[in-house]
Amino acid sequence: MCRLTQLILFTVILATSVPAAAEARYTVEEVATEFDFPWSLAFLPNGEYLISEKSGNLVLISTDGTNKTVIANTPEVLYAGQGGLQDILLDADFANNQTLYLSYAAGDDTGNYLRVISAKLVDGALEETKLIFSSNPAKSTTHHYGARMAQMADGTLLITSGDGFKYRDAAQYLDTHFGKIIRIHPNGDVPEDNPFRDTDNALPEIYSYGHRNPQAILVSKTGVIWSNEHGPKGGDELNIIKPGNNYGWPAVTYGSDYTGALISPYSTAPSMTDPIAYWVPSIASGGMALNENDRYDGWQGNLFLANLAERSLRRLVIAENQVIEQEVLLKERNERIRDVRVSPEGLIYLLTDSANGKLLRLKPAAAQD
Amino acid sequence: MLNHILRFILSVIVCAGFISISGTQIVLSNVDRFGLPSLTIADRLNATLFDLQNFAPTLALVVLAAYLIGFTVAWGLSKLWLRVSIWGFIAGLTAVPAAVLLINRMVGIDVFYITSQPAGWFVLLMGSVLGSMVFYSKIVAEEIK
Repeated sequence: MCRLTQLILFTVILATSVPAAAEARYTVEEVATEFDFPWSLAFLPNGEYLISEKSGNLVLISTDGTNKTVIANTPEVLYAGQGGLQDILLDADFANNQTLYLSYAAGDDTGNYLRVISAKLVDGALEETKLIFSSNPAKSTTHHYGARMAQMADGTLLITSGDGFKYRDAAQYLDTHFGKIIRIHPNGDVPEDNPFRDTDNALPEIYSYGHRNPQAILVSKTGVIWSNEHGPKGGDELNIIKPGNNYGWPAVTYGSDYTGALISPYSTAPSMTDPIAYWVPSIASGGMALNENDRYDGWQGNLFLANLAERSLRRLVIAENQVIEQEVLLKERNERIRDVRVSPEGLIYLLTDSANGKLLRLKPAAAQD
Repeated sequence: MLNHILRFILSVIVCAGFISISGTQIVLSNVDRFGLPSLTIADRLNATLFDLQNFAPTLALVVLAAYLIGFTVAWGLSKLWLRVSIWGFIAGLTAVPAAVLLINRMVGIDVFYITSQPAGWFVLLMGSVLGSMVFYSKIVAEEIK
């Protein structure tokens, strides 16, 4: 066999074996289907699932995925544009206090808000509902809500608040909630140690600023706050959030407007925090999860990004808070992926983004038998 | 006829170029307020060229469609009432802002960011009028004669 033929054969074998190796690590299972643009997922202590549909339904799914119950007494949402019922966050002590938090768009086309309620989930209904956050001021667009939530070790809540699309410059100013990450107590009070609590003309709930449309936020077991945000045309970012920091939007960015127009001549500045990673062209990440267990061979400590535009799941290998390697998974399914979560049992679950959205589970290869 | 086509193309270029160049300055003045180091003339020139290269072509397509419809309607109306220069001025004043407004409404967001502030609308209006003046200048001159 001549050298050229050997080289071609070797290349073909290599090219075909890489995806096979990736797929061998897991199989994709459909747990439940027919969700109307599902947005977020939570795992109840008894093994059931809660899924929010953007249209406003909070759906309880049985452990085997066959039964669905719509939870009663959910808030009235503004279902328009990118708004609707959005994130679900179970309180860290949910097993004892049955408390959860929901984020959603409220109001109408001409004046609307990002809101967060706390409530108790009792017998298929929400009780003791309390509004704990409402963004300020009202906006007249139904885009860029952010609306993701996470709970810190001290019990305080982090809420991402988008720039509302047409208010992008406001992300640089502290007198609005546009383009901010918010930190509040579960009862809505402002923590004493919030960075701008004593700053004149600043809203005290602000934890960090200069964000565009953060679509995920999570807190690792070591206390690192990870967030990703949609950039414009290019410039999606992965950030580590620190109190009081300015993440630059729209003063610095790696992207340009959808029309091709310049947003800023700067992509970095000394007074602003650079992203840990950025993507040009955009991958449009939705939810994000940190896999802190060993159920999947070689995936411990990896970040997973659910991607809408790229229609994929990205696995990011992290070392010393830097991304050192990336792998694109599930491209072959060609589905927009809205959210990714790791269950208490350590399994990775996904929500696909469509009028027939699915709850998927990645079954580790070792658990296939 | 060729003369008309050339003037039409020139009017589109003038309008898109004016809006692009002015729009860049609006965006840069916003950026200037964020407390970053002052932009140099070279920065401004590079930014302006960036927009002329990346933004103006997209905008030119919108202007082309807006003028095509606006000028055709103006010509049709002039057959019924008033001079073509009057209808042309009205078309020039409204064509591009109306097209951008329509696009913003259809998409549900301000696709052209400069339209999120009054200065941006003013620039659109001025660009639209300026471009139409290029197209109608000869007609107006003939009417004056």
